[in-house]
Amino acid sequence: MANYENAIEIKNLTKKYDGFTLDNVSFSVPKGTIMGFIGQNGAGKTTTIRSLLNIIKTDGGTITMLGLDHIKNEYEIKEQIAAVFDELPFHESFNANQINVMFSGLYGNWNDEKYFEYLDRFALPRKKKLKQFSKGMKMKLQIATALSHGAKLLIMDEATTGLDPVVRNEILDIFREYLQDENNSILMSSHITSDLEKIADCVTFIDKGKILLTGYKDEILESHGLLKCTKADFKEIAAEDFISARINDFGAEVMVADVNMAKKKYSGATIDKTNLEEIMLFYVNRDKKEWT
Amino acid sequence: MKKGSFKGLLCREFYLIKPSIPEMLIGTLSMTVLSVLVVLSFRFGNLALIEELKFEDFAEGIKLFPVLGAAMFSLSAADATVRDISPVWERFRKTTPVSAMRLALAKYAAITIVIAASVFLSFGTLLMMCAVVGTPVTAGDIALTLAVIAFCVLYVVSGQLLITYFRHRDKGMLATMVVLMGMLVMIFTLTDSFSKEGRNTEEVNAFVLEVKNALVDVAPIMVLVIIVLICGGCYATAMLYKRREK
Repeated sequence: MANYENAIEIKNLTKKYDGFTLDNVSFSVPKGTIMGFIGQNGAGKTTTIRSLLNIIKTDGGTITMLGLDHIKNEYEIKEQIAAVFDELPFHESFNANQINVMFSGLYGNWNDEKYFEYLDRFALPRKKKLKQFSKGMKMKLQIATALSHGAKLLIMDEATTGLDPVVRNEILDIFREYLQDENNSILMSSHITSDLEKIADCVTFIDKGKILLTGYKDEILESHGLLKCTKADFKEIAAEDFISARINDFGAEVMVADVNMAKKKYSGATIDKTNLEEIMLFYVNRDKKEWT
Repeated sequence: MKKGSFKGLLCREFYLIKPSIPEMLIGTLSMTVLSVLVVLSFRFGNLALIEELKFEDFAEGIKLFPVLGAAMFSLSAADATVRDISPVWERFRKTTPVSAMRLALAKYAAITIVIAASVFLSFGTLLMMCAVVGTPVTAGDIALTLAVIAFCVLYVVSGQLLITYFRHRDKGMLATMVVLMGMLVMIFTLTDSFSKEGRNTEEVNAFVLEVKNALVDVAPIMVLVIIVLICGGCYATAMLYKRREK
């Protein structure tokens, strides 16, 4: 098996569609971490994931997964990864027992004991047809299959979307457990930033096909801040010192990417801590600069 | 790299076929029972009382009717294709280490088993109907049964390929109907089967016998056609599975 530092390394990935371009996307997921891949609907998250999985043909760039080239070593990589989508990919007439038989055909290192352990743990019935499963049960079943063939990398595309908070938390706990093995990594795309705030080690933020931010979550949260000031004071702030500003009747909230610089330069202003959702919101409105 | 078991992939195909099997078997059984009842009625029942109706004029048609039903058992494989087509499964399949050829082989192994079962059922039904009607099994009977099976195989394979090509159930089925109708029209035009005017019910026997005689010569070719369809379908499916999304 290849030695690698990053579970995923994407360099200058480009994919052109009519009206949308994935533009020189580059980021990496360090081994043993969970990367939150955030962005609005249509920002390019799914296109990036499909490129990673070689589901779509790319127009440029290189991708390595688990230290291997994603095209040359496609099958070797796919034996060691698992993808989880927002919808169950199995026919609804199947049951969990049949899924077990089917997966023994899909993966050489399928572990049915582990799979049944997960079924018991998630209280999933073995003989009930999938059409009778709730959305949460379907997602747990997908996760059970993803974790039962020794995958070193989980790729989740909007997998927690539409689930209630209790199920989402249960799933996040499973991921924490999975990451206790430091060889395992997760790439988790979502627009539910609160989940990623809880669990992610790193965050990559994509918007309109471009990567705006990528790095360790704590560093991003520490470097960004929400500067609050009056409308008059806002006019004194240089445009290059902030991402964008939300103007309301009471004044302005200004997102700064360098809190230390802002504290020195605008010493009278209050700078609050921020969260991923607000960072995302202010970055999305960066072109307008000022918005309400 | 250790591969997954072929049995697992084959089982998946049968899980997709399974829901259609009871209805196909009920259909075959119903057609057989109905035909046997018609024969009994001609012998001992109400149909025997109608002087204008002669059993001999309908014997060939009655014999053929349940054989058609048994041959159509193979269409359960086409139902499985309809169930299998799903964009989410298509996407998921590409995240697994199974090659396109292995998946296609599993699918066509399942189709071949269903077709073999259909052949067994068809010839079994033919033997039974010949015994009920009281005629020996002729080369024409065998040729006609083979022709019906070949047509069903053509339906299954073209349906499977076109649905996979369009990645859409309705578009695929529509295209399949167009292809099959086109082929039927072509066959009937080339064989000049519509040239005789004024066919009526009394000529059912004559028509079936005419078709049987014509088919006897091409029966060995039909076996070849079935084999080519299955092998070609498998290869073409693997090629279609290799396609990537845009």
